[in-house]
Amino acid sequence: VNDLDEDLLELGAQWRAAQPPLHIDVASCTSLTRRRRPTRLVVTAITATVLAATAVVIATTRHNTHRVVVVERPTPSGTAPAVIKVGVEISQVQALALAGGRIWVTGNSPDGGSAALDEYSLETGQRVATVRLSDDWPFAAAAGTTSVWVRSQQNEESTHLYAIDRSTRRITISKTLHVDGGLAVTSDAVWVIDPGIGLLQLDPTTGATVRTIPLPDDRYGPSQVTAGPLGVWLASPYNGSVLRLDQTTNEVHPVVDVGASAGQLVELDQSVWVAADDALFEIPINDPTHTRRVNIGHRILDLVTNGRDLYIADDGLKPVLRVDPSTLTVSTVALPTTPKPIVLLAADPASSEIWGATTLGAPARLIRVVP
Amino acid sequence: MASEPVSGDEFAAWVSPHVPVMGYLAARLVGPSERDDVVQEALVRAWSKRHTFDPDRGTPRVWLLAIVADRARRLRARRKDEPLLAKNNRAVVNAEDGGAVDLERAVATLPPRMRMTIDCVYFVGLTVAETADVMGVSTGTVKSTLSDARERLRSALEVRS
Repeated sequence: VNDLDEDLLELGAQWRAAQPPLHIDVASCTSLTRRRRPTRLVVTAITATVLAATAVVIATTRHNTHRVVVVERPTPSGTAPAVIKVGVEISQVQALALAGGRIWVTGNSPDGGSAALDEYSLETGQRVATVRLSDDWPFAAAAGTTSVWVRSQQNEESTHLYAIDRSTRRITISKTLHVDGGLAVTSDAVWVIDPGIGLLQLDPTTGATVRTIPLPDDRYGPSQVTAGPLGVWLASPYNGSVLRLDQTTNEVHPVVDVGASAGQLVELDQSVWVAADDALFEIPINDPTHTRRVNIGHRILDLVTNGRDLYIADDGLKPVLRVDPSTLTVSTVALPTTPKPIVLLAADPASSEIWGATTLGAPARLIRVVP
Repeated sequence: MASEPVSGDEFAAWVSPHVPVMGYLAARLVGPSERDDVVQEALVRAWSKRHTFDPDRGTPRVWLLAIVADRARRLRARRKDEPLLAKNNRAVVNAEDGGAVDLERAVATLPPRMRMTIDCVYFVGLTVAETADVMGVSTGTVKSTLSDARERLRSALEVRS
């Protein structure tokens, strides 16, 4: 023990001595504090203007800390756009959701204040609404039947789950959680991982916690979740384990270990597909021991499916990749433009559409990947 | 300082002694390329949350390190699929030191919690009590985790030799 202890002490000292100097301007940190939104219950303005045969309505409402800006524009004739420029209210896109001909984009505010959730029409490319969240950093979004769900955080002690009604664009649920984690939405349930607490099943209409399922490894356990016809599956970026929820016993059991960094996962056909660092794994639910691996070559940033194929954004500065689930053939998707790298994807299995987002440089752009 | 710093100058003087160790922890958790960003973000957070610092609950050093650990963990959460602890974080600069290379590789294969404990104690240079505060666990847990980690390291090194 003593020899090992001394070796570790020496190794640590050697490592510290080899560290390059920090480039930190402490003084500037005191001028970078993010603003917090004031809490007010004020309806600030409702403005309506009718222009000839078309209508432009802009309504601004404050509901608690959430401001809603609704912009309704007439639908122009012509083809649907392939590229949508994200508004200046979002400086960096953090999450996407796609459903029913709409795409929701959420990201950081350029002034470091509260984050925005923008809704765009895929038919016109126009921004339909902007909803202000009370937190400054959104990190997950998913579209449900009647609501769009967003997870976000403000600081060390504040993270929230919001439900935004798709019709009224009002925040109908604001649920305080403890630590940031995964989000999955089905027609009858919302699943969130609150590390240190567990896997929470929520009622999608009220946000009430229906049940809490303990997870292994406390705060360093599974942090990604997907839910669908194949059940509820989880992945741990800390030890590579892929787990399944047994809904009869309310217990989560490890199914397979894909190595380090098990990340996003999706269900397609009779398999669960897991992104793990620079590889994609297929886990057949009927025989998880026959896992298949696809080398992507670069770290996978996002993984979605439109119900037919798998689509991957990676950090190799390539366009979006498509993986054929039968042959595991990887091909490059021809995009309507050659933008900055696409790092986020969203899929609508109902329409098979896939959209991606660039996040480098302003303004961010949404790119139609699969019509 | 009995309570939190009020002015920017006070804050700078308050945190400056702890910035190097914040850098060590950040480097172990996120790697060299994002070390400075994590420290900078942690300092911004510390400034904005300085009124929550309670000297009765811990030292400024531990308070700042806990913020660094939290910022690093959130950075990885945003990146979604990063491992708990940074890769490419080599300690050994002398490639001829085979024993140290083996030990470093063995440390890299430890489960996340064990590795973080080893990192905090041996690489960042924290005490057991400081490590416990930074990780949000008891000192007993740190000691037992250290013991388990050393056992694993010893086994790994024996297999390699």
